[in-house]
Amino acid sequence: MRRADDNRPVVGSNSKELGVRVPPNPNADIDLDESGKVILNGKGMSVAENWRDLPPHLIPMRLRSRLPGAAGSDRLACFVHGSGPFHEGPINDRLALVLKAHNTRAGNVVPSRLDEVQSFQDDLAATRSEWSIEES
Amino acid sequence: MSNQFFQNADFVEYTKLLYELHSAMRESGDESTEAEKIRDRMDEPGSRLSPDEIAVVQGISADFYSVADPLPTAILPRTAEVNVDLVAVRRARDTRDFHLALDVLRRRAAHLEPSAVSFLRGRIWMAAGQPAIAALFLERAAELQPANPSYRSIALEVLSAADPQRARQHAGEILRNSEDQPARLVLIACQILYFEARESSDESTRSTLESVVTAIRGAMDRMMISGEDQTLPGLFLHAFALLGQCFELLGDHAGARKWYDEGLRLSPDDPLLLTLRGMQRYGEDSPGAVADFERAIRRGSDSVWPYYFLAHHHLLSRNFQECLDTSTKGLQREATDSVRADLQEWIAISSASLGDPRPVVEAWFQQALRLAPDHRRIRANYELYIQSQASEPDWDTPTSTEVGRSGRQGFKVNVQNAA
Repeated sequence: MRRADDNRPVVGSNSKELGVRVPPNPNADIDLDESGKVILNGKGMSVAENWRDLPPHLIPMRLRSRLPGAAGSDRLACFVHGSGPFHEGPINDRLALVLKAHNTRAGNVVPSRLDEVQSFQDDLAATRSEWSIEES
Repeated sequence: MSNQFFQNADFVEYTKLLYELHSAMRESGDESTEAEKIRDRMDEPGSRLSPDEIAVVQGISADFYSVADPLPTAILPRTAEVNVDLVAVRRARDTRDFHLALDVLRRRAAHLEPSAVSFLRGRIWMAAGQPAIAALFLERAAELQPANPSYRSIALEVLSAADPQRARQHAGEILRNSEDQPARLVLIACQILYFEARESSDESTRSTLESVVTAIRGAMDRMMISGEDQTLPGLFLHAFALLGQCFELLGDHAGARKWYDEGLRLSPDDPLLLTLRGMQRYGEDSPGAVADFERAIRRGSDSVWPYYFLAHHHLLSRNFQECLDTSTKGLQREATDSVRADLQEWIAISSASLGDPRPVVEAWFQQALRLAPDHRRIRANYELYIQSQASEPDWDTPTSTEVGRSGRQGFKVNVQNAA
C-alpha cells in the first residue's frame, strides 16, 4: 500500500490504498446492492500472507536485493496487520478475512455484516494505526 | 510459463504488462506516470494469479532487469553440472516447459556470459511465441556481442515479427553499410525489405528492390571469397532464392529464372529453389512445374506450396484421387487459413467426384468455410453442391493464374532457417 509520511498506509478509495475501490470504478473491489450496501460475496480489500507472495508490480523496487523481480513503486510499502496466523475468520467485530479460492496465501478483507459502503471504508480506515511496515 | 500457465489469459496478460512496465521504467523512469499507469492495469490480472504463477512472474521480472542492469564483474566457472543444466534448459524449451527452461537458466546465469544468457532467454521466448519479449533479450545479446553474426541476425529476424517498423529501419541501416556486415545479417535485412516491398504499392518499391538485389549479390560474392558458400551452403542457396524473388517482383521473370536455375545447378535437389522455379513455371510450362514440385516433395520439402500447386494441377487435370492425396499431405504442413481452406475445398470437390457420401463432402466444405467464411468461390461451390443432385456439378475452380498469385503473395523465404 502507499506509505504516508508517518509510515502508516494512505487511507483512500484508490488502488493500493487502505480502503476499497467502489463502483462505478471499473476495477471496483466490491459489489453494491440496490440500496448501496456492500454485498457479502467475499470481495473486499486484497491482502496477502507475506509480501513475498505478491505479484512483482506491488513489491517496491527497493526490495530487489531480497526479491530480484520486485518492480513496484518505491512510494509503496509492505505493511503487516497484527501478528496472528493468516487464517480465514474475524479480524475484529466489523471486519473479516476471506481467503481467495485460487490462492490461499492471499485473501480479501471484507465487512462482517451488511453495511453501507462508507461504513466499510471507515472500518478499514480505523485500522490504520494497526498497520506497520514489515519488509524483512 | 509452462503450457499450463500459458493457457491462463490472466498470466499471459500480466506477463505482457510486466514487459511493458519494464520498458516504461527503462525509458521514462521507475516512478514515471507511464510506469504507474501500467502498474494500475496490472492489478486486475495480478489479483487472479495463483501462487505458482506469481513465483513465475517474479522470476520473469528479474530476467527483464538483466537487460539494463550493470554487467557482473566476474563470471563463475562453467562446471560439468552447469553444462548438464544447460542441456536441461534446451530440453525443457523443446518440450515447451518454458517456465522450467527459464528457471534453470536463471539459477545458472552467474556461470555464463551475460550475452549467452540473454540469447538463450530470447530463444526460449521465441519458442513460447512471444516475439516482443524474445526480441528484447536477443537484441541485448547482440548488443553485448556485436561481432557475433548469429546473435544479430536472429535478433533482427525476431524483431521483424515483434516490431516490423523498427526492423525495417534496422534493415535499411544494414543495407546502407552492407559491405562491412556479415552475409547472414545482410540477407536477413534483404529479406525484411523484400517483404516490405512485396506488400507495398509505394513508388519507391523499385529502388528499394534494386538496392536489395545489389546487397544480395555483394553478400554472395563475399560468401564465395570467404568460403561461406561451402560452409553455409543452405544460406548461400537461400540467397539465390531471395534474388530470384526480387527479380520476379521487379517483373524480370527471365532474370528470376536465371537465378533459380543457377542455384539449382549448384544443388539440383534443393526443395526451396525447386518450389520457386515450379511456381514461376506454373501455367506456362506446367509439365516442367509439376516435375519441379514432385522433385521438391521427394526431396523432403516441408513447405505447403509444392503440395498446393500439385494438388491444383491434379484438380484441373481431374485426377481426383491424386488431388485428394496431395491436398491431404499439404494440410499436414504449416499454412495460412486461406491456403488451408483452398486445400479443404479441393478435397471436397475431389471427394464428391470420387462418389464419397454427401455428408463427407459437405463436412470438408464446412471446414473450409470455417477457415475462410467470406470466400466467395468456396461458398458458391458449397451451395452448388447442396442444391445439385449431381456428384460433379459445374465447379468453379481457380485458374493457374489465381493460384500463382496466391503462391507469390504467400510464399516466404526464411533465411534464418538456412543460417
